[in-house]
Amino acid sequence: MSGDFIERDSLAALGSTKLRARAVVEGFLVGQHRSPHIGTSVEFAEFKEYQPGDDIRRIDWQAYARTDRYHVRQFEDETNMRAYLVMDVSGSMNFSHEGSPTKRVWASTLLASLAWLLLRQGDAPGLLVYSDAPGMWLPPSSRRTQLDDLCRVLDEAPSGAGTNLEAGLARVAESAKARSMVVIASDLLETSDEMLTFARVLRRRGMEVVVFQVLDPAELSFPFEGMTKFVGLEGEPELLVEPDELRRAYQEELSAHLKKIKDTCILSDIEYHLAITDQPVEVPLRELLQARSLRSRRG
Amino acid sequence: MGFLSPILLLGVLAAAIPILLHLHFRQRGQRVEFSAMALLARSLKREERGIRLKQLLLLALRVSLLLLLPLAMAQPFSRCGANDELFSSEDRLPASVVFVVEDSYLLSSTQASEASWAAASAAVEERLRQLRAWDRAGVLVAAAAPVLISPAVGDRAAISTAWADYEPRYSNFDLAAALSEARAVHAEADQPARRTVIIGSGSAEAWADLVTRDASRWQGLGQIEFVDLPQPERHVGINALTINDDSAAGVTISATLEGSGTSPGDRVRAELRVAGEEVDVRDVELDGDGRGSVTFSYTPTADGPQPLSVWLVDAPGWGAAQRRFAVLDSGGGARVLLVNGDPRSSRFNDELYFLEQAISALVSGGVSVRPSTVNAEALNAGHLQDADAVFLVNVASLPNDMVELLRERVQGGMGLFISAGDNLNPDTPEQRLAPLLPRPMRSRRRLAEPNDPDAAVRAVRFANVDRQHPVFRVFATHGGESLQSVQVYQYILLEPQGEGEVRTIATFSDGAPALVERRLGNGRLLMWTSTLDMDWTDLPLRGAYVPMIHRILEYVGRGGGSMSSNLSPGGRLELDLSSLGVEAVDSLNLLTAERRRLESDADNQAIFLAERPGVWRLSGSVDGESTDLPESMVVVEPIHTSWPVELVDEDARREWAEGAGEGIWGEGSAVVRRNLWPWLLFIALVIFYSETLVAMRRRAWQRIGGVFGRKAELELR
Repeated sequence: MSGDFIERDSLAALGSTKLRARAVVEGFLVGQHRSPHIGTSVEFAEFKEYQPGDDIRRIDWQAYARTDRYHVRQFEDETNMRAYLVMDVSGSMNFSHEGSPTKRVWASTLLASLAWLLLRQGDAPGLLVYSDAPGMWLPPSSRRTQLDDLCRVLDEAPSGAGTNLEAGLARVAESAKARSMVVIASDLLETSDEMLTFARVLRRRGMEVVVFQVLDPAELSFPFEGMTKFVGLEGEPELLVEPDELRRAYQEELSAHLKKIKDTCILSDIEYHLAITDQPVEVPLRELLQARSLRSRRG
Repeated sequence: MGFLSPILLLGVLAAAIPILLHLHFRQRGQRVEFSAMALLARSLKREERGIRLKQLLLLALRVSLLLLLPLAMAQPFSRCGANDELFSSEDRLPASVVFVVEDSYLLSSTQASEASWAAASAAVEERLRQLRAWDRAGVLVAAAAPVLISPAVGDRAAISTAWADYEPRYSNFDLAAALSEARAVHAEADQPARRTVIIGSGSAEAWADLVTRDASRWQGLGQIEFVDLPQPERHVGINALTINDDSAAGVTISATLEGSGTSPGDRVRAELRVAGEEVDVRDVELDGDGRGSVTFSYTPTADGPQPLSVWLVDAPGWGAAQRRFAVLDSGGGARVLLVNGDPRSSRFNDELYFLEQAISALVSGGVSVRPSTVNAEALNAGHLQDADAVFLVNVASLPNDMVELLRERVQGGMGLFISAGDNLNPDTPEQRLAPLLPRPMRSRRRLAEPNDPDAAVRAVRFANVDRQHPVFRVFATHGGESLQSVQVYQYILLEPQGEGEVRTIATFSDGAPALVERRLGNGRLLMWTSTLDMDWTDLPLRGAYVPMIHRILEYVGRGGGSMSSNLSPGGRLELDLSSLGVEAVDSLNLLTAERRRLESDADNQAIFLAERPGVWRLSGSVDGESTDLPESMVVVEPIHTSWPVELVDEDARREWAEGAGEGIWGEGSAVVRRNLWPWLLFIALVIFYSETLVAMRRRAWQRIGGVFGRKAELELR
């Protein structure tokens, strides 16, 4: 399957989010035997008699065996699902190392690809970009221009100096209804307990919450050598350090931070994915679909 | 503490490099925009203290390393006591070692185990072998003047060769001058430590001049080692040698022996050698006091002077004192006519009294001279017929024909000596002796009467004396001070100019001539401007009288003969080629037949160096032809002293060593060097490895840990 994925260098060469998302989706769909279904689980509602024109794949043969009549299954989810895509556009998302795509580009591609798939299946993706405060807001919609608008927002939203995810989630919470899906793409490096609390609240309200924590490989391995002056992307004070002296401690801090987030998400029934920007975007998408599929079979 | 290579200490300036680098790169880290600043800040806070400690430790290690390396390369050392058991002689400071060896007859023992030159050589060789490769050694011989055998060098073989080539002279010696020279040798060697080894007899005679003077004059000798060679326990030597020439009966050679440590009845063998040939051998028995005597009778078989020597064979003690040399003049000695210008009935008041006494003593001492006496009024041509020399003693006047005869005889080679007196009056209008005088008389100068209380103050003394002149050469060595003690109360003042070849040999302290010589044809005449008795001077009472008369007798009496000079080994005889009328002077060793031409200096003086005992004959060379010289025989024999030998006071000598040097060698002085640089290098090595370990990157440690199965990297994915 890796041959179907778009390499990150090639992905980065595609200038706009829409182009990148198209490349991802097209490549993604090539290998699929059937259309991926993203969204909440489809629940069975009732049988109805078969009328000419109904999808014969919905004929319930067990019901025919009992009643000797043709009945088709009718599901509750026959209406559009709203998906709220939440994109972190704070300064830290602009980090990249040694030619890799920035986290923002990568996350934008991920959300745009997700939006494309959602639109394709008739759902309504919306978008909220945030940094130190909620930014541009695109209400969920399934119209044809929604993807263009969404990609344009992803491309043009200005980077912010800080990160305030809880404010963004609060904005989503105002509009979101039950059986909505909230997908967060952020590096979550400035995550506070309040943000996680908000995420739990959204989950309890019946929304599905998916978190993509997007990190650059350099943020994990801390590969820097020699005396280095680290300059914050969100205006933090500079630090002049010998990376070799701090690497272990940094990684321990990062590991603890990631574990905390992951554990909180697990406890809160929030779907958590760690996405590294040296991975193809398709990988977390696939993970998401697999998680969806697993959840629907359980359900 | 000291440093063997202090110039390398400049390398400590390199210790500033790590500090400068630290300060430089501290401000110039690479700039990286990073996202997880909060995490980075938290991790820095955790590790800050440890990081700072590590950086300080690295800086300290690097600075220490750059300090220690030049310090070690400068080869520091510390001095510590020679008795410290922790350090061997390998740690001894490089030293210049100067050997000063006494060359005197006290080192002429016939036994190698005693104070002999062989023992001195063995002492030098033994210490040369003990020296280390970094030491420098030099050798000086304390002879009459210091003889530098070898400057301070590291080549032991060269030193041994130079030492072996030196032949001892057993001469009088000047240890003080040799030690002064040793200081210069040390200074040229320029080693951090110094040691002076003084090898000799340890006699009071050797050290008398040193221990009584300010020792600080010889500072710079370093530690001093005294090697006193054991003096012979038994010694027999020749104390005196006399020659009596009885033309009728032959020559009688008598030698008196004196010994110490001998027993009554001990016997020694004495040999008489003439011209190097053994002519007689006698056994001599010593009495209870170690004394003995031997007399040889010898009939000369040839005319002219011949070298004569008496040797003791296989006798114990100092070999240099067991042979004596003399010149046997078979001609019977100079015939000297003494003309008395003022005969007195009273012998003591006679003009010739003191002169005759001196001559008698000389004859008794073996001097070959045959005096005869005549009053001035009775002088005739017959008296002059066989005379080799004539002494006109206070003669007022002579007949003109006698004066002319005397002049002719002097021109023919006879010697003439004139002494002043009351009869010699410059104010006399007719000066008949004027043709004989070297310069006309001007006046008589009376300074005092001999009995005056202040006569000693008003009298004149000898001032400028030509000590190279045969008459005064003997006063250049021992006894020279006796000449300075002579007081002259009255003298004849001569005119400043005279005819012919005239020169003043000695003057008084007021500048007036005392002894004047004039060459007249083949002969010479001398004029003494004072008296030979006590009328005008106390010369007859002084120790200089007899040797002066002796030399005058020989000089004027052997005008065409063979006057001899006595020298000690190390002494020298200077012969003025111009006054001798020769182009060069040759020497012939009458014992070994070795012939050598004497070297001349810039002043046209031929130099005879008395290198060893023996008898030499000198001859002049004119146009390649040999010609006789007035002073043609040279006898060289060592100066003797009494025995047993008095040894130097040890305390006095030790005190001198403390003042002149750094104390006595081997008595706990700080001569040992503790090398510190090996320790410094070891510490530097430890620091180097420590710095390497501390500076290793954590990734390297992690890789090493991975080799041993430990988790290398934190797994975050």
